[in-house]
Amino acid sequence: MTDQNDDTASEEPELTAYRYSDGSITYPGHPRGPDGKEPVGTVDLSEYTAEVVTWTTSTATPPGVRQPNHLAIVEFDVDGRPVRALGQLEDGNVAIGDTVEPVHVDELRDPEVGIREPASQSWDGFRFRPVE
Amino acid sequence: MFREGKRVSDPRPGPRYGPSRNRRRVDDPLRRPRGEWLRDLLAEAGADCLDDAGVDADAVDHLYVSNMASGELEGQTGAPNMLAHDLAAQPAYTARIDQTSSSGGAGIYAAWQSVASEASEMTLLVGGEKMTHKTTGEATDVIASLTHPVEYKHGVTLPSFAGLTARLYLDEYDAPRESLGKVAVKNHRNGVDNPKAQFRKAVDLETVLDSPIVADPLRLYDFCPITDGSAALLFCPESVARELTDEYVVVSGVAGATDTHVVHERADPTTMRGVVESSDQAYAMADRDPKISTSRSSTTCSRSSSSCSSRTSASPRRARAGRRSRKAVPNATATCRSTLPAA
Repeated sequence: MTDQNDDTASEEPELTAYRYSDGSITYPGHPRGPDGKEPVGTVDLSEYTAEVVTWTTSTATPPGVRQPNHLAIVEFDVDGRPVRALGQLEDGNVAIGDTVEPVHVDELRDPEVGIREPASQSWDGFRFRPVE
Repeated sequence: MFREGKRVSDPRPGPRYGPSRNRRRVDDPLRRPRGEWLRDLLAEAGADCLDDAGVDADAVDHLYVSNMASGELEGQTGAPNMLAHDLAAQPAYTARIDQTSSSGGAGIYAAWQSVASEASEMTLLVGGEKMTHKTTGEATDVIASLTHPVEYKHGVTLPSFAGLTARLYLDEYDAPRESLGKVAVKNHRNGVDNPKAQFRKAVDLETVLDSPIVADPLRLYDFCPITDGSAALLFCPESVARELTDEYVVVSGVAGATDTHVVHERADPTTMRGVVESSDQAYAMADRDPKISTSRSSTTCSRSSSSCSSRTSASPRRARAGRRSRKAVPNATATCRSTLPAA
């Protein structure tokens, strides 16, 4: 586990969740956390495995998105604290309760053909694949 | 105005004066097909509502337009001002009410608030959206733009959120898939009796369960279609409503609340806290018990979501702000064309 409170983050892509003073952790981070205060640290969720909470395969996808698009909500356990994330699945061969791991992808969808301004956000991220 | 009548042919060369059947009046918006674009949809519903209520446009103090994405979908912004002018409702105060897929419910809240606060004695609320000129993918993307960046980049859509929720709901409650299908069957059956329903065709459970998958385990008939439409309501104090009609509906309880923007951060993905909170507040305001209530507003895009809950809730009973309703609904202009989500 990496607990970072400064700007010495590595160059490796991270799935960054944020810690708050009340102990809660959220992904993504927010300027004010559940306790109403600023985050006090980060956690790289890419170093953890997670459990599939639910999943779907979307067949009606927007421009620039793979079709079909397999998606899941997964839950990480960070020292007893649950932290959820939504992300693409590598494929649709999963079930609720399966263990998955994050795998970095340089571009999750084509940013040039959607409605959102490409420069307004990042487009890389983590897909989830089952752990054998 | 073009006047019908006997036309005298003019054999002389040179320009003709006056309109001709062979010419297209490119600058005349009244000649566009009725109901084709947002301006037409809003004006049709708004005008019909005022006519039905017997209220002149110059009596309207506030005019609200519930609309999520006219700029993104049609390149038309400023819809409330456009509608006020088209209805000759100036100098009414106008505002657009955008609350994503619950813009209609938020519009009811805003219209009620304007009358209850005595800022307005006559408020016209018109909701409308024009979507079918876009492909299913484009329209889906516009709607999905309401998501957080960490959701949007994964290509998540509102139907896929519904699919995620439905799978978890069926798993947690050990509910049969058929139970969600029966909601679609019931909704279509109700539409048969509604002359302004989007679809007036009953479907059986087998048809629903065999329809193409949109977001597994949900299928085509589990979702509302991408469509064009508009509807209008008129709000006024009950004392004014009594002068206009013998039959009107009162808003005795109304409330709104917000849940986490990021869906996966909800404590229970199958519970919409905004719906629970707003429902509790609306029932308390109306002094009603949900166990005996027969009416609740639901603003969702899928049957599974409607089975879970809604966002802005209104319970009709006691008088706060009334609306003219000689019929069940003052005016509701429904679908012109529909594009079903492609599977």
